[in-house]
Amino acid sequence: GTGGDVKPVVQLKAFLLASKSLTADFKQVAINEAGHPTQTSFGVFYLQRPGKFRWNYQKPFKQEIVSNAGKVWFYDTDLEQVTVKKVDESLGSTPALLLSGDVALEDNYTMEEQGDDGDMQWVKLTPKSQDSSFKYVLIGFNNKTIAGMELSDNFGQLTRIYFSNVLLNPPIKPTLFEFVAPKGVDVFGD
Amino acid sequence: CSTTPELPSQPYLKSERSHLYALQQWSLEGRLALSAKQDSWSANMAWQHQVDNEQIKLSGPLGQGAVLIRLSKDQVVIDRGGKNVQTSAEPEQFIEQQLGMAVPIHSLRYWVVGLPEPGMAFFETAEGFKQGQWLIAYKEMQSVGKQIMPRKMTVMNGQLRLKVMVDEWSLNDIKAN
Repeated sequence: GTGGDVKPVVQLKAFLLASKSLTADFKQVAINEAGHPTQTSFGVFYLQRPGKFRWNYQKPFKQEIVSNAGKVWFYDTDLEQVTVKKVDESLGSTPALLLSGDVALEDNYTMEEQGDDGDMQWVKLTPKSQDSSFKYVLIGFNNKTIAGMELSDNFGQLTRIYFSNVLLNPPIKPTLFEFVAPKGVDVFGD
Repeated sequence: CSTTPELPSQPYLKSERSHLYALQQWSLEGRLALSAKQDSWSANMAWQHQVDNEQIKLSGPLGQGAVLIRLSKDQVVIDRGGKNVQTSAEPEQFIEQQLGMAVPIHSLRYWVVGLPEPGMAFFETAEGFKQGQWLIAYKEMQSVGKQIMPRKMTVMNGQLRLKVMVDEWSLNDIKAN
């Protein structure tokens, strides 16, 4: 592919620098240890660097994850509960956080090229800390923009994320990253 | 077999459920929210039951922070992946020490299926029953094959509240399908 000659690690860094903000749709597929897809969900993802993102699950259920000012709000509509945690405490260094640009990649991850598969170039990030909340995350590029991610949990279960309708540097209303708990919903946390 | 619920929520009816005590094998995919003075969190939950062994996997929305709890009558294993595995012969106490709050996990194995724990008194309520100092309420039920199973439930005592949403049931027992 055209991006073939540019090494994936370089692409990742260039992408993180070039995208002050980003919006995308995503499809998420959980794949169990035996390699069978178990749950599929769909949603939208908004990012504003530094440190702001919104990760909304829309189907099959509604959840909102909003990160802003060093905190993460997690709201599940069915469970009618909002938990607020400090960024490092709640999600650990998760993919969404990686993209938000707060995490210094080299300090926290070893990064390896995974080569091309078709027109996608993949970078593998392995946490340096022992008690990380996941084994590795793969970030995939398709002509210079993010196209997919794959997270392996500590038991080998994979979560694959496919991005579509990726817009780089769109204007995003700041209020989108200010979580407001609906009336009657319990809010817990610092 | 498992179906995704589109049916209106049926009421919880304890009387028609006792045959489910014979259910040897089931699994569910859903979500759990826990709130107590000390802490509150929510997680994706996958629970597999076989005879009298439970395997409960809790994880974040993207699979991060996954913890596997393997429970039998007198042993619990809390596995956070790799070498980070802890075992105890005192399940209830160990879970309380790990989570910082007492979660009635042996009873939950019955409550989540819509049944009071056998061999223990309980009092029926409009939405479920009271057992020990726990109030179990089934807010929504769903059809799974020929069975009616919980979809949304709460489990509360004075200190702790659990909310469970079951997105998908698999009743692998031929009798119960």
